[in-house]
Amino acid sequence: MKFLKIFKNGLWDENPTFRIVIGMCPTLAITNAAINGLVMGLATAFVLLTTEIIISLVKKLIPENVRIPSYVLIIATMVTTVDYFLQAFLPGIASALSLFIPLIVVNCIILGRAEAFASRNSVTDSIADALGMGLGFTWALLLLSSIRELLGSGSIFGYTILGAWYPPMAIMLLPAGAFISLGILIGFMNFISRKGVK
Amino acid sequence: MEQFTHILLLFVSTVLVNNFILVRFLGICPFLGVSNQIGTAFSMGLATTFVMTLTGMASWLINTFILEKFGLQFLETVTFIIVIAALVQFVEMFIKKTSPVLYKALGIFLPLITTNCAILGLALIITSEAYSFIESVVFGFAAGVGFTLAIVLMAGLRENLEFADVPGVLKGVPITLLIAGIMALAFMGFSGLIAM
Amino acid sequence: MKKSILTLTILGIISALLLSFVYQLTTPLIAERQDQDKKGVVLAVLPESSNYRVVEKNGVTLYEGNKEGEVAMIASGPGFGGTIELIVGANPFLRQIYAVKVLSHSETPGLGSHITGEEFEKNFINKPFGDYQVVKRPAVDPLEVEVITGATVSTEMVVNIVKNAMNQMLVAYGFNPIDVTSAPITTGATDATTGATDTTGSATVTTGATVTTGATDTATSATDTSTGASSAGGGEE
Repeated sequence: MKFLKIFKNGLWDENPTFRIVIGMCPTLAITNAAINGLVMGLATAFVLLTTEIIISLVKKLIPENVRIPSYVLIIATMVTTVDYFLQAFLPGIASALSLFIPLIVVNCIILGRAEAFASRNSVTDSIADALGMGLGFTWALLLLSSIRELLGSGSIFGYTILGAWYPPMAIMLLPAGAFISLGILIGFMNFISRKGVK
Repeated sequence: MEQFTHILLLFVSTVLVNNFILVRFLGICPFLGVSNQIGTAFSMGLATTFVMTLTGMASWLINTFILEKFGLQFLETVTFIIVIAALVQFVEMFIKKTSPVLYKALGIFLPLITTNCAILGLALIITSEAYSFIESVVFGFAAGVGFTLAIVLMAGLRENLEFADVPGVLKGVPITLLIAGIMALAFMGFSGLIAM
Repeated sequence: MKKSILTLTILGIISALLLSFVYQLTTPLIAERQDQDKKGVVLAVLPESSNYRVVEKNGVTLYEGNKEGEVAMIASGPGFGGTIELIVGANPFLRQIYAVKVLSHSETPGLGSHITGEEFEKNFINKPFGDYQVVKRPAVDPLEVEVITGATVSTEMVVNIVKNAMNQMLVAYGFNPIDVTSAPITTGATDATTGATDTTGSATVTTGATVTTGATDTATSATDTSTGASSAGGGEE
C-alpha cells in the first residue's frame, strides 16, 4: 500500500516536470521527436532507479560531510554506463540525444531524490520512489515530444498521423516551439489540478 | 590577425547565434529560477561567467594532459563533474577571503552553479569540438556572457510583468516559458549570421 | 576527516574499475556498429557495388566500390547553422553522380533540415557531373536544383559541397576539374580544363595533374569566398 502511494506521488502529485518543474534542460532540448523523449525518459529513470537503490543500501557507510560528493560520484558512474550502452545498442538515438545523456548527471531530479529520499528511506521505498519519479518524468517527456512531433512533422514515432493536407509547423521543432509548448502544457496541468481541488 | 578574427567570430557566435540558454537549452534551471529581478539575475550571470571561464580553462587542461594522455576518456563525465564541484568550492573560499562584498553578492549563487548543466555541458562541448586552449577560454567566457545576457533580459521582462494581468494558471513558470519562447524566436534571427 | 577521504577514494576506485569494464565491453560493439553504419552509407550511394576498399589519392580518402569505376567520397563544408557532412557516390570516369546523402548537419529543423529528405536527394540521383545551379522554380534541366523553400542558403551550400567533391574526385583520378560558377575563371585554369575535357578513360600525365591541383586550389578558395559572402547576407533562411 505504501509502495503504491509513493509510486503514485511521482507520477502526478509531485511530477518532476509538471509540478516541481525540475530537469528542464533535457525536457526542452530533446523533445522534438517522440522516440527521443521516450529514450531520454527511460535512461533518466534507469539512472534514478540504480542510484536510489545503491544510495539507500550504502547510506550508513557514507560519512555525513562527503555525502553529496559521494552521491555525485555514484550518479556520474551510472550515467556513463548508460551512455556507453546507448551508444552501443541504440546509436541513432544516442547521437540525437548526444550531450544530454552525460548531462543526466546534473539533472536535479537525480541528486534531489537521492538526497531527499534515498538517503533517508528503505530500499523498497526508494525503488517505489525511483519508479514513480522516473516514469513520471518519462510520461511527461513522452507527452511533450509527441505533441511537438505531431504538430511539427505531422507524425508520432515516425508514423505519419496527419496526412499531406497538414502543413507541418516547423516552429514546433525549434527552440521557440519547445518553450511555448511546455509553457502551455504546464498551464494546462495547473488548470486540471486546480479544477480537481475545487 | 586571422586568429583574432576567428576568436572574435567564436565569441559572437557563442553569445548570440548559439546562445547557451535560448538555442542550446543549457542552464534552464537558473534561467527560470533566478530571473525575478535584474539585480540578482546579473549577479548570478556574473558568478556563472566567472566559473565558466575557469571551467573552460580547466576542462581543456584536464582533457589534454590527463584524459587523452592516459586514454581515460571513459572517465570524462565523472572527472569533469568532480572538477567543477571542486572549482566552485575553491572559488567560493577564495572570494570569501579576498572580497567580502563580492561574496555577499555572489555567495548564495555559487553552490547552485555546480548543478547548472551549462557548466558540465560547456566542458563536454569543449572536448567534443576539440577546441584549442585559447578557444576553450574564449568559449567559456562567451558562454557566460550569453547566459548573462539571456537571464538579465528575462529578468527585465519579468519585472515589467509584475504589472500585467496574467491568467492564474499561467502565473510563474508557464508565462516565463512563453516569454522565453518569444525570446528564442528573436534569437533565431541571429542564426546564419556566422558560418563557423 | 580520514574516514571521508577513505570513503571517497574507495568510491572513486570502484567507479573507475566499473567504468573501465563497461568501456572494454562496449567499445568493440560501438566500433563494429560504426563500421557497419559506414558500410551501409557507402554502399547506399554506389548502385552496383557489394563491397569497397578505402584508398587515399591526392590527400582525399575515397571508397572504391568493387564494381569498376564506382567511387564514394565524404565531403563537408559550412552550412547555414553549422557544418554539413555528406557522401557523394559517383563515377569519375563516366562523369556521373549516382547519389548524394547528407550524413550530418545542423540546419534549421523543418526548413534547412529538408536537405536530408528524399525529395531533395532526387536532385542528385543519376545525374551528370556539371555546374549545378540553384533555381527558384521546379528544375527543368538536369543541372538545376530546385531551392528548398525557406532554406536558400542550405540548398546553395549543399550544391557547393557536391560541386567541390565532384572536382576533388576528378583531380584524384587525374582528370581536370570542371569549371564551376562560384570560381573566378583564371586563364590558366580554363585552358587546362578545356584541354582536358576531351581526355577520357585512363589517367592523364603527371604534369596535367599538377596543373589541375593548382586549378582546384583556386576553385576551392573561390568557393570559400562565395560561402562567406552568401552566409554574411544569410539572414534570409
